[in-house]
Amino acid sequence: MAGLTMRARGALILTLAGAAAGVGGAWWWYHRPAAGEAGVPEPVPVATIVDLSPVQPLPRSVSLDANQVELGRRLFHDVRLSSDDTVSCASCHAVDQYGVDGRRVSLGVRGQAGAVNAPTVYNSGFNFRQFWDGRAATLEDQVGGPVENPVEMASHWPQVLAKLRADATLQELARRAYGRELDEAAVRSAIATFERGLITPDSPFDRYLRGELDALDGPAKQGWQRFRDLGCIACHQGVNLGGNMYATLGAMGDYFGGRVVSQADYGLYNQTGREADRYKFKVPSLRNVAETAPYFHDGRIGTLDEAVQLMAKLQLGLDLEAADRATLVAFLRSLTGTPRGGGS
Amino acid sequence: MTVTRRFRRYRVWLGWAIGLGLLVMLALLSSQRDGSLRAMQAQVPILLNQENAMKVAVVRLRYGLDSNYDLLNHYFQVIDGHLRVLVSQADGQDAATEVDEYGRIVRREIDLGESFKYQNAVVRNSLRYLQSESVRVVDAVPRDRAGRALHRALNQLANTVVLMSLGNDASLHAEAEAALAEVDALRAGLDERTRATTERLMRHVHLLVETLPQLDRTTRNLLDSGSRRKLEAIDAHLRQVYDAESRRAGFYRVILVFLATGLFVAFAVLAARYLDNVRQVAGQRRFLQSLTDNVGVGVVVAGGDDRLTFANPHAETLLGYETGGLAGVHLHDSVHVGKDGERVLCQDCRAMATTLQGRSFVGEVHFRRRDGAVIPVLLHAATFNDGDRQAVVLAFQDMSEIHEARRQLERLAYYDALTGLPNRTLLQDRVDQALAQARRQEKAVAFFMLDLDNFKGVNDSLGHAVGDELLCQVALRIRASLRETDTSARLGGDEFAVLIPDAISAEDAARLAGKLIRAIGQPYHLSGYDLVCGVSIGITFFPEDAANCDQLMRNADAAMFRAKESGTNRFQFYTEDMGAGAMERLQLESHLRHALARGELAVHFQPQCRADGSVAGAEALLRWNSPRFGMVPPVRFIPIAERSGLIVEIGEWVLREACRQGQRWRNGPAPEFRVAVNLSVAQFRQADLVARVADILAETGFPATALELEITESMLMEEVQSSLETLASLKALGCMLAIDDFGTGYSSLAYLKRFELDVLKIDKSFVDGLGNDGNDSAVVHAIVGMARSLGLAMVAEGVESHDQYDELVAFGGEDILLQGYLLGYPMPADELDHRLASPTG
Repeated sequence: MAGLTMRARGALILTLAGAAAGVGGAWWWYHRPAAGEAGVPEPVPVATIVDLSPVQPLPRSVSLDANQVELGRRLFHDVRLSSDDTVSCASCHAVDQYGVDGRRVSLGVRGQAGAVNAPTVYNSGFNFRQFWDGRAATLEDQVGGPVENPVEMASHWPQVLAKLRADATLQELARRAYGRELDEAAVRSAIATFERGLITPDSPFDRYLRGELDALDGPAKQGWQRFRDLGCIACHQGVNLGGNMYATLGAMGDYFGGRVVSQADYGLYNQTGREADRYKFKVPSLRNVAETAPYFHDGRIGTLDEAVQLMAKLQLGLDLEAADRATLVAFLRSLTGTPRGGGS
Repeated sequence: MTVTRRFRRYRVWLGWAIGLGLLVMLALLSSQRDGSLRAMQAQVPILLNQENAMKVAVVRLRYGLDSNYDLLNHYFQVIDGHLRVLVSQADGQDAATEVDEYGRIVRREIDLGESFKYQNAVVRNSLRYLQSESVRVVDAVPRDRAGRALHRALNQLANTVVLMSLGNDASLHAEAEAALAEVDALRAGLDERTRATTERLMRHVHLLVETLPQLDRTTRNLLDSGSRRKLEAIDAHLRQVYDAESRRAGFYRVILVFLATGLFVAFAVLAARYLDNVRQVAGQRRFLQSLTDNVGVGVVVAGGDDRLTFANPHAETLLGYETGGLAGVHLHDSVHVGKDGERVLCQDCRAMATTLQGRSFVGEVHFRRRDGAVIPVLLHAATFNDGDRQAVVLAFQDMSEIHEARRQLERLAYYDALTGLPNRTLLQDRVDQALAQARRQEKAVAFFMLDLDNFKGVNDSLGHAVGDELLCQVALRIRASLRETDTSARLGGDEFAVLIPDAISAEDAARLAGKLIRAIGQPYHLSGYDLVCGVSIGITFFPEDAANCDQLMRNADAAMFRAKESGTNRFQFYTEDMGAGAMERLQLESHLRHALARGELAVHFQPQCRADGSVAGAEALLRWNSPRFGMVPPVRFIPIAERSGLIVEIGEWVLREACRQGQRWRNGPAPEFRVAVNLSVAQFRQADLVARVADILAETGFPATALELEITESMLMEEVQSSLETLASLKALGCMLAIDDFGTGYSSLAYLKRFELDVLKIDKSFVDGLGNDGNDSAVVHAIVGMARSLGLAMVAEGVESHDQYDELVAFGGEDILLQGYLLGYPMPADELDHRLASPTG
């Protein structure tokens, strides 16, 4: 550098810097990630589903981001999601009550009655759709439903976020979990992540499936056999024993016979508008069914025995004997697992 | 600076920047925008795979190989996920349309999938129940004819339905319908209870007949969804785009390579040139540095604020500053000063004014050294452009030495080197000035011309060193005799001049002349020699005697000549008649030089007679018959001859001629003939006089005793010692010595005795008075008496009358010889021949 004037030195440095910037910029441009690659969650790879038998046991644990789960847990229990700060997700899907509220239909803000029975939040992550009519493809999508439903939380997202953002703890958690301020996507994601952690593994039936042959008692085993023989398993299959297809309620009978039909009773028809989809509902999961009374979308069925009886009649055209029903119920009871992921 | 100028200055950088910009642009252009393309292309095989897997799952589920819909759902979920990715990637691309179409296919597939799942479940269940119910019905329905018909019909129906379940066929469906109708008809004929038994079976059959075709349709539609074709089309499209993109990128890449190479070469060239330039500049700088360091003048540069921005080592040395000491020094505060060291303001500085007007300044100014000394310098100052400012470069030289040299030169030019007196040039200048002033003020100016007597003799006998010393002493004495305002000068040789620029009277001039003569006449003691020196002074006055310097000097010269002719240590005022004389004298001199060679000179003889009138001998007298001047009297040309030194040669010739003639006469009519020859001062002072005389005597054969050498009193009185020696030598030869002009000068009687003279010549002035003046008679008488008693012979000069003759004879008798017009005029030798031939006459 000796012998160069100040100006020449500056010019040389500038040139080199400019060239470096140009090259760097070009390299970055060249190697920048293709649009749309980022931000799309990868679905569960096929490899994890190796067991193709009709039913599988629940996985014992789910690996989730702890920060997101914590934020989701708080939000799940946060009444500020509702317009009058009285109703939270947990109001209808209490994590210490097997994810239900035990009511026929849930009560929203100002004690308004909902349209349908609250499905359990446990194992909901294994359902292929959410809501009875399957209108939410993912748990994230489902979060907005109750928030904006006038008879449930009756709120709006701006309103909710305004309240939530004022909470410094939530903001801090959001920053930790998502690296940004709390927003709608973060709320949805957090709650969904939390929900995915709500599983009930190690039910007697699962233990039985895993090889613990004496996990089921005689009646339950019998019930399991009857379940398959009678063809219940045709629709209530998969890891969740249900929750993976739509079926018409009353394939061989009329459930609604005589009474006034509400909008909610139309089921999938509300989504597709096709006649064939009238009275089609997502087949509910039978796990923990012994703890999630009342049953059916309208919550009109109070006991398992009644449910079993009705299902056999409506879907299979059968009149089951009490003894038969008892074994089936015994089997159904064996589907109750240990709630996990609800505590802090 | 104007925009164009600035552009030109930076055009290289501008070009570079443009080149670089192009480079970056091309780099961007040549990068394949295939990120999204590749991402999209990556989705296609995944989707194909998943579609396949999904369809396989459908088939497996259809045929009861699997009964778990989770996997099918999973495939749909994956497909949907990748579709979303594909859609977002395809957004804005030209493959978007096809991707949208594929999206529609997928949505349809999912829809069909839902239908499939339910229809499949129903069918599977109902098929199962078909079997179990068939068994029950067989047991329940009686085997009567109606019953059997029913069985048959049911069998038929069941088989048809089972067949239907294996593969859809339009005809089968029709058959099934027909069979169903038949069965329904037959059932009508049954009893209540039996009919009730078949109720469930029929419901399942109805369900199957209804659902099976649906399921088949759903399955076929699902399997033939066209997803593969669409995906492959997308892939082909993407590939096409990719290729086009590749080609485009490749094209730009080629250009990029060229441009990059070009830029690189340009850069290399520029760098090389730049380095060259740098080296050159460094070399130039070294050269300039060396130059400014070694140039023999001081160089400083002053900026617009009058402060020095640059000084070379010579400048620092000249001005007495240490290295770097001149930086920032204020030019007019510290350096440029007036002649006496006073401050010169910048705005008053003529040099700066000239320079700033765009002209260069050359001139003498004064600089002040750091120690306060003021030195004269020759300054050259000029402006130049230093970047975009104006600066002044000053180159200066110390003039002190030159001034000193100049002074010395002046001194040499105007002053005599030996004596330090003004020389002729300066004298003339001063005379001119004095005359001018005198004219203006109507005053007079006096001018003395001094000529040392017998100086040449000193030079010849004692050497030039002594002569020079004598001149210096003379100069000192002259100066000492004058006032400050008077100018004394040495004109050359032994000539001096004095200028009295004030009016003085003739008396004062005479007094001064006398003073000078006395001063110069004092004995000198030089290098061990004692000598005296005489001087002749000519005096002229302005305006009486001359109108200008030249005339003044010439006339003074003439007057001086006259003084010299009159004798030594005399002064003479200029008179009119001398004027012409000077010029004439010059002419005479020049003619005289050649007179001898041309034979214009002649030796005349004036007889010296005894009392009885017989010729005893003759005095040889030089006569000059110049064609130009005619007969030039000796009194005129002898002094000239003596002044010019011609007398030596002429004297020798005279001597030789006289001896020759004398010998002729001795060999002829007068065996006792004697010749008297005058010796000039110059001859007397000659070192080899005696030798020459001896040569001539030898040559002519004339006896020394017959030769009488006449010398004057004054000759003897000067340089007594050498005179004695010479006389002694001549006496030794045998010559007779006669003293001329006896009694007229400052002679001392004692000297007479000392000099061993033989003959005494009584001066004409005394002879003239004889017969008239009693005093003169007494003097002559006395002289005769003295001579007689001393044993000297006598010769009386200028005898022109009988009275004089008578008296002289009365006094001297036989011992005195008589010479004069009465006895005979000087005559040529042949005339004397005649005279000698006739003894009386």
